[in-house]
Amino acid sequence: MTSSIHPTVHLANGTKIVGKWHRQTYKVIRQIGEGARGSIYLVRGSQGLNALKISKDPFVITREAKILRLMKKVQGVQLGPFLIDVDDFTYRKTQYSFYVMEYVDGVRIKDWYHPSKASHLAIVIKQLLFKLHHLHLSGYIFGDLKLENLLIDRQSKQVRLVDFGGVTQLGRSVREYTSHYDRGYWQMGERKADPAYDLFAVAICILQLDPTFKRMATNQRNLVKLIDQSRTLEPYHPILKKAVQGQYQQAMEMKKDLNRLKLNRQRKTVRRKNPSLTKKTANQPNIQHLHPAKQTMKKEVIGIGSLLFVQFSLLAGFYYWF
Amino acid sequence: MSKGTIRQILLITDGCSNQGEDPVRVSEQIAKQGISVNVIGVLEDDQTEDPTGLTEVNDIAEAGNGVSRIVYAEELSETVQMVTQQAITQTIQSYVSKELKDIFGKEVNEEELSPETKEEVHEIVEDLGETVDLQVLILIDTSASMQHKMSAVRESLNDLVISLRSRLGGYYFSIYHFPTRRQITKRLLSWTNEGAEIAKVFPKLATGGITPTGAALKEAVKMFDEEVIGEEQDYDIIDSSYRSSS
Repeated sequence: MTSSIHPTVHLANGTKIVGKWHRQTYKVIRQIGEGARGSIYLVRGSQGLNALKISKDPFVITREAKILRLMKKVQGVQLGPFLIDVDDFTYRKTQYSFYVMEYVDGVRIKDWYHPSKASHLAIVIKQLLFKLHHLHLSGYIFGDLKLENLLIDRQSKQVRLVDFGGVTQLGRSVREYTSHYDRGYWQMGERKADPAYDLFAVAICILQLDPTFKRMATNQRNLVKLIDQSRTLEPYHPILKKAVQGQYQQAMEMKKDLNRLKLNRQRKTVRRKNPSLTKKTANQPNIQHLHPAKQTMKKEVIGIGSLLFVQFSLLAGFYYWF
Repeated sequence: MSKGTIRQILLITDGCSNQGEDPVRVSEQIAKQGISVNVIGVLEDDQTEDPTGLTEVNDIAEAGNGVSRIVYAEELSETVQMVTQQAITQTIQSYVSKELKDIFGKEVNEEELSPETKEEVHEIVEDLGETVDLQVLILIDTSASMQHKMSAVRESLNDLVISLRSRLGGYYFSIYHFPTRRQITKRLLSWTNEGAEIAKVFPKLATGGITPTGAALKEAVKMFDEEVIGEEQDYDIIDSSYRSSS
């Protein structure tokens, strides 16, 4: 019986893991994460560095491995880390299950973000929404979307989703979630998998970046009021409110509003000179989008340098797609 | 063909029993009736994560074919939901391995299945876990030391109902607490699927000093027989019609 205690597995650095079925060898370098359902280690395999998730509960491993395999099939867009191997391993007379995946060397959004970057945040969120959109198209939602599960890949400079334990088929009850990001906890809807469930969590991710949010949230359960109180995120307020109230059915709707958000800021400055600026002018996208982005880029290059540079180039790419 | 139901007891307690029957033995008896006994041990804020007084929590669940977790009060919501879900999975898994035994004529140990085969088996288990009907009896220890954890317990039960409501399968839950002045257990809520009821019954909780966990479990399990809801109960855990929704 797989009852009781925690499914986490403690392995000493240097432990050699040999797969029971596929006979691949992995050497433990260090632990990089521990959740309620298993432990994640950085390991060295025959192909270099990998991440290895190991659990006492084989159910956790087969399920996540299956999801990662599915993620690979979604055309053109890489949604999850590449799955490399799934196997069992006997350690001190107990059998554990594990899977091996590509190691995502990334910076946590929390560590990257500073309130002065509020406008850059839009780029990251748009990348995220783009991925979620494709995930939703494939019939799943991410489920356990939270800041801890979002990394900026040091190499590709793209937002990467990690920990696919919460991925749930549309229409089913969400497998795994974190209270503060959960629509049910806030009494704003069911815990059922629909795209809006993820978009709700995206809004909470943004809110969590406001330095006052956590403190305010302890004695206030009215999300709309909380949004109004998060001053550093002011430009995002209308979008956040729509997201938490379930007014976006699709990730792309939220993304479109984020695109317009940039425009509005631009328009505001223009309006002061010419209040009669028509909607038509404002809706010509490409040049207007790129302009403010380029300006901010100059300022930020000194700060975080190439990371943002590449992000902006990607952003430019995305605008031509949509 | 009638649809099967998974039956569970969820015991929320903060310490070892100190009166009456041995809860581990009672739990073992309950498991024999096809009802799993799952236990959540609630820690004091200053307790370490591995207190000796709470080992009983794991023993009761182990004997009851159930799942156990020991957590601090603030983790209760996530834990109640997780334990319930894992207990469903575990019950179905043991049912599936029984089926496999019938097919292959011998015990099939999951450890002997290749990752590929395991994945197929687990997919069936997950489908069943989402669609099977569920009957959960929640038994709350309300001895004096639990008093200040009651709001966390209440919140976690509200949260559990949100999760139950989101499943495809049907559900019923009932709430009992122990000890009380005159009886061993007292019903707070009879079988229902109405989450709003929890708010109405919770303030009634009184607290006592002793913790007769074993006797309370023994009392509580009778409720599965006494109150049959709707159609006739099927004693098989699951039958082949599991895919039909309610």
